[in-house]
Parts: sequence; C-alpha cells; structure tokens
Amino acid sequence: MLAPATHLVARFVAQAEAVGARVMMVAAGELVGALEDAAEGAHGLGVTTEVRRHWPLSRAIERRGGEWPEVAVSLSPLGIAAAGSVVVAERTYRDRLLCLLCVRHIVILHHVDLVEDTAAAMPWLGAHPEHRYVTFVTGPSRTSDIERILSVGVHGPRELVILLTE
Amino acid sequence: MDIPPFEERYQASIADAQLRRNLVAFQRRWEQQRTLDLERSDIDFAAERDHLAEVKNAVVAGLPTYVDRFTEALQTAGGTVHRAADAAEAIGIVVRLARGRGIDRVIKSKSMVSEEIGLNAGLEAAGLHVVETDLGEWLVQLAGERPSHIIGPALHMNRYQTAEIIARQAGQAVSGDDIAAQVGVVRGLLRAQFLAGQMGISGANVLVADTGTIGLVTNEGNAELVTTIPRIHVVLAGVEKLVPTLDDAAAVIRLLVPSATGQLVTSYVSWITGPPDPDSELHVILLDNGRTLMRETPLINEALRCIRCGACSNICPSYGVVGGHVFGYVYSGAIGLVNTPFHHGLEADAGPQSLCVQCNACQTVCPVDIPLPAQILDNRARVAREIGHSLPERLALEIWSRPSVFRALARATSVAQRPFKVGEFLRPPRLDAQTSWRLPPALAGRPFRDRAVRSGPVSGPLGKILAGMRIAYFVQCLTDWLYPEMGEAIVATLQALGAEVVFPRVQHCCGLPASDGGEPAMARRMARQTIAALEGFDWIVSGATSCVIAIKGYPDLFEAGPGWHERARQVASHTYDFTTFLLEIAQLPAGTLAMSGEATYHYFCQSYNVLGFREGPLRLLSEVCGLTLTPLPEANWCCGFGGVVSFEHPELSAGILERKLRNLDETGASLLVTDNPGCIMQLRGGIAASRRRVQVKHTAEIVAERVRRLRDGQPR
Repeated sequence: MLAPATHLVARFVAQAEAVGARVMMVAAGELVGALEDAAEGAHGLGVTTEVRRHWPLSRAIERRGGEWPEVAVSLSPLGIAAAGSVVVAERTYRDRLLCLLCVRHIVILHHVDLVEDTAAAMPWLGAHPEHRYVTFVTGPSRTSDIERILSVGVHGPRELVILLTE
Repeated sequence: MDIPPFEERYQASIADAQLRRNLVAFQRRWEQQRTLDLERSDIDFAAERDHLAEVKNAVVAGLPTYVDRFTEALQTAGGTVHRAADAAEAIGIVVRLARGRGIDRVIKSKSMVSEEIGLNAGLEAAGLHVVETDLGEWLVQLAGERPSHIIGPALHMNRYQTAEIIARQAGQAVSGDDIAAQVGVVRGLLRAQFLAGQMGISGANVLVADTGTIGLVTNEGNAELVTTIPRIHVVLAGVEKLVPTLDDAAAVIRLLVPSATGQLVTSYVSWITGPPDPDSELHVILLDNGRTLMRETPLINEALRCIRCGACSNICPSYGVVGGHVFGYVYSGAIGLVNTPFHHGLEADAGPQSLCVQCNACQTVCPVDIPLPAQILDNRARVAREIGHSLPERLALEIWSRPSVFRALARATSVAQRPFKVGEFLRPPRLDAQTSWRLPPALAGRPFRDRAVRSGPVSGPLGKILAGMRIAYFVQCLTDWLYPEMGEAIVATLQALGAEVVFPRVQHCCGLPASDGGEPAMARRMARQTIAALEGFDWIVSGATSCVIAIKGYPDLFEAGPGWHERARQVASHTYDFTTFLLEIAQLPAGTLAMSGEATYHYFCQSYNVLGFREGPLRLLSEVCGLTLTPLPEANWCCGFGGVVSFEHPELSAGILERKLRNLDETGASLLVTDNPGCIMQLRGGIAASRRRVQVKHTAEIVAERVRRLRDGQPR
C-alpha cells in the first residue's frame, strides 16, 4: 500500500471519494494483481490500447462478456486533485466506447500526474491537441432529473474505481 | 410544438397544487445545496462573476471576430461550421446532413437551442426518428410536453408522475417511490437507443474561439454517448456560447456548475476539438435567430452573457408558484422573460413578463450579473407600447401619477369606505379573487399630510446624535394614506435624535408604479416632481424602502449631463431608507435602545437584493433595540406584493404569500418586523384573511417605541 504522501494525493483521494469514486493505492509491481481484484465477479473485462502498451501482462486478464464488457480498464494522463477528477482522453473509437459502455470503469492514474485544480489542467488540454475527445470524469454517472434527488449510474458507468499508482 | 395561450397556461398552473409542491421542494433543495457548496468551495463568487462578465462582454462586443476565429480553428481541426440565420435554416441544415448520409435515427443530448428552434418537430416532419437521451428531456418528450426548466426539463413532475411515464414505456410496473429503480429501468431502455443512433445531436455549454473546442457538461454521461457512438456529431449552439480561450471556458464551467446544479463538479466535462476519428464528422451550427438584434439593443445586449445555468428560475418566487411553462415561453425563468421577444416575438412574452415581481433575486444569483430585472421592465415597456395596457390599468396609473386627482379621489374613498371599514381593514360584502386571501387595508382616518408635524428637534437623552442636521422626510403614498403612524414614528425618532425634520408638502408618488407598469415617460414626469420637492436638504429619509430604491435609480431615467440627471444624482446620493440611515449616519451604539422583546424579521426583497441588506437590520433590531430574533426561513424571499403584479395576477401573489406565511408559521413568532409598507400591507392583509395571529410592524415602529419609552423614563 502507498501512503498518501503528498498534499495533492490526500486532496485527490478525499475529493474523489466524496463524489462516490473508489480510490485504491497500488505499488507499480502489484498493478495487474490489483486489477484482477478490482474486476472480480465482472462479466467481461476489456483494457484500452494504452493499458496494453504499458502493461503487456494485462492482456491476460481480458475476457469477453456480451457485446461490451462490464469492466473497462483505462490509463489516465492527468488527475485533478481539487475536484477528484480523472482525465479520460482515449484516442480510438473502441477505447472511448469501452470506457462509456462499461458498468465499472477502472482508471489507472500515476500519482505524479496529479495537478492542483481544473485551471491547472487546462494548459495540458491546450498542449495536447492530438487528444480530440477529452473528458474530465468525476465519480460515477448520476442524475438529479427526478425531484432533484441524486441517483447513481444512469447512462454511463455505475462505478468509478481509481487505481492510484506509486 | 404548439404552445397554448398564456392565460390558459396560467390558469392550469394555478389550479395545480401538486405542481406548486414540486416546485417549492425543488427550489429549496437547490438553494440549500448551492449555499452549502459555495461556502465549502474556494470560489470567490463576486470576484469570479465580475471577471466572467467582463470576458463575456468582450466577446459580445467583438462577436464577428470571435465567430471567425472559432470557424477557422474548427476547420483546421477538421470540423465544419454552418451559420443559420433562423430556425428554418438550422433545421434545414440538419435535415440535409441526415439525408445526404441515408440517416434516419437521431439521438440527442439536451440542447435548449434545439427547443428554441423546434428541432424535433422539424426533423420528425422530415421523416427522421428522434430520441432524447437526457433523462428529464426524455420524460418530457414522452409526455408530449416541453422543458419547464433550462437545466431540469422535468422538474415540474414528481416521482409518481415520472414512474407512470417510465412504466408505460417499459411495459412493466415501476415503483413510484423508488427513484433509483426508475433510473435503472431507463438505463436499460435507452441503451439500445444509443447503440442504434446514426447521428448524434448535442448543444454546447461553451465554444472556444482559439482552439475550435466544444465544451459539454453533464452528469448522466448521455452527451458522451450521443457524441461518441454515431459517426456524425452535430452541435447546435447560439453564438453567445463563444469565449476566447480554454482558460475562459474553465471559468464558465466553474460558475455554471454550482449555479445550475448546486454541485461543485459534474460527473463529466468533455472537450471536443474536431472530429475524433479519421472517419467521423463534426458539424457546428451557429444560430443567430434574433441574437444580432439583441446585440444591437441597449441593455438587452447584456443578456448575451447568459451561460444558461437556470439559477434565475431556481430563486424566482413567481416561478415557484406557476413553473417554467408559464413563467417563460421556450426559455423559462427571468432570462426567458428577457430573450423571448427576440427569439419568438413580443406577443409570446406579453403574459410571462407580467408575472415578474421585480424582487431582483435573479440578478443576485446570476453568475454573469445580467441586469435581468431592468431588462424585464424594458420588455414590459415594449409590451405597453406595442401591445398596450388594458384600459383600467392605464387609467389607474394615470390617476396615480396626478397629485391633485389622486388626493381628491383618496379623500372621497376615505368617506365612501366607511360602511365596510372594520378596524384597519375593509371587509367587502363579498370576497373575490382580490380580497379572499388578502384583506384590503382601509384608508386611515387622517392621512399623514394632514397631521401636524413639528419640525424642530426634540431635546432629550439622544438629542446630540443628529444635532444640526436638516432632514427631508419622504412619506410615500401607502404610508401617507394607510399607515400614517409609521410616518409619525420615523419623524419622532429623527427628532429625538436631534435632527430638524421637514415634510415637503408638494411631494407625491415617486413614480415606482409607473416604472413597474412599463410606463417610463410617466415615471420620468413623477421623478421630476419628486426631485424638485426633495432638493436642498442634508439628507432625505423614508420608511418606504421601495421608493428609496426608485429614487436611487432616478439618474438612470435621464440622459447624463448637468440638467435633470445631475439633480437626480444629487437627490439620489442623499436619500436613505430608515434602517440604513440609523446604521450608517446615526450609528446608534449597541444597547442604546435595548428593551426586551421577541420577533422575526422579513427582508423586503429589494432591500436584500438591491441595497444589499444582510446583517445590518438584524443588528439594529437585536443589538441596538434588544429584540430576540427567531430566524425566518427564506427571509429574503419576496412576500408576493410586487406592486401592480398583485392586482393583475392575484392568484400568483397569493401563492407567493402563502409560502411566506408557512415559513412564518415555522418560527412561531407573534411579531414580524420588516422595512417596507408594501410588504406590510401584503403581510397584514394575508395574516388577517387567514386568521393567523401575528402582528406586523415597521422597523421604525420598534425603534420609535423604544425612543419614547427611554424619553419617558419607562423601565427597560
């Protein structure tokens, strides 16, 4: 387990959990094992191109389940501490859909990729025009359209799990 | 979609008690969440609001340049920009794009612009199948209705009403109590629709000119699915959504989210810069539809700062009674009352604009500081000019504006009312829409102007505080003819503090009813009378805060320059409401008039929203006067008087008053203190008609009673 060493990590964890995300801190060597734990019991698991590239072993845990797997694993280039957000910036059609259509979205975020707040995330956006479709994701999908009462998991993922790596 | 006539919509909403309960519950939840979240956050609302207003002003001023910049940037990124002058052109572009690609299934995320142009009906007429995917918008589409709120389209429905719609669609029973289960059923129903979509249509929360980026803010994730699954994405947006840079876009979203939802962040904020894949298409339709005319219209052009957060609905007392199908047209809330004439014609705004009580709460919460109340009055004047007032209304305003006619009529009424006078009220032989919920006040036996006023200071223990000052007292029509004892309380207090108080007898009405009634020329004439009557004093003080605010607004009635504008400015800068005068000029120290008592306090809405009353009046009543105050829930919400509005729409006024009185019940107080005679008339009348037992007093009466007891040496 990684201790919440820095101020940014502590702030990120508190904010992300406050909006309903689950944050697990993981040492680099334990990642694939942690993924297996986080994906337990799921019908199908898919990982994005970037995750395969960084962790070739992750292919081993991929499994089919219906048209789209219940669990998607992606790698985030940036986290926003003040909001508890992870940036999802997938560059292929399949990877984007994987992250949207799953029930549980597992996002890997390296703790050095945390920035303080949304204002500090905008320069990253400006500097990476190759990412045509970028989403700041904060907690699971939710709605308050009925009586302004919060319900989780309407169209997007019902669960957001963030694996914060060393 | 055909929208029924205003009167029909108004009557239907008034008869719908369920609607009112839904609306009040929603408004309360929003206000509590927003207040809590802003307190918890690092957002400096006032500073960031002013900054954002400046950013948007610059865009509106240089709009054509920003449109060009955005177009160029998006083209560079591989997207296409289309310009649409009106609804028909915009619909035509979408239909052509669909036909050219053999598309017949369209999925949509929420877009108010698409509502503005009637897109769904247009696409369906062209043979396309359209599915809304935002939960609220989907419910509204299935119910065959239109959104009643910019952010929450189905907020007029409660959970049992939504359960019925969902059950019908799912062909299975759905729990009315369990909202989460309802949402689960919808997820399943819509998933298939998303996957079958061939064209995705979205709105835009912000467009970035420098980069050609589209910003989308949602909680549900439906916008992400709509803009990802189909290979063609069409964005519909008004030109006012442009900002120069990505940083400016972040500033918009930082204020948009708490204003819209009472959260600090939404689940998803997406930034799309050009088509995401080599084989996908991105089209942005920039819509004018009256925006150029808005931009060219003074005052109204400030409405182009709007970021469509809906806060002006959430805080609006009239909206809380009738909802967005009545308080608005396609766009609901205060902003709808402002932009409707430019998108849908003046006729469409004639009814809705007449429901505004001018409490100014919308401007207080607006994250870009749009002068909505002034703009609504501007539209009210347009309606009066081009469609016209009813004859009785016109006649009443005309009589009110003429001092001698008004006084003669008032004196005659004072005699004629005698058979119906019971205490301070009139009890007409038969109660009707005007009187069943608010007993009308009787005219006082003798108006203030007939009572002897000694002008000199009175010696006593407090006599040094205002010694040497010469103050003009502005009485106001209601105080003069209904509540002269309040006038006497103010004069006695100021004299006891050592001032010389003069009552300039030529004074008449300040012109507020004319201005509220959309008659600016009449208001100007009355302002000139009042300015001439009040010039040449150290201070001008009134217990009628509404009139003080009207007088403070006089300079805006006249063109800048040495003549009337300068005279108006002089008078305005020396005019004070009683409470502020005691706090800022007399500066009574704590404990000066401390005598025990219990009460609750209602803020006159404009005192709160225009003069910025917060702790001041509470300090005066508790620390200076010794009252123990029980907080009144929603103390700063309007009482429903709203001047002419309460006579034109008594059911609306009664609905707002009912909310106030229920809040009052929660305090258990037997004394309610406030600052404005209009509120006092409304509250006393409503309390008497509903047989509650609460006294309503003006702050000045509380102070004057203590001043008298101190002078007479009565025990504290």
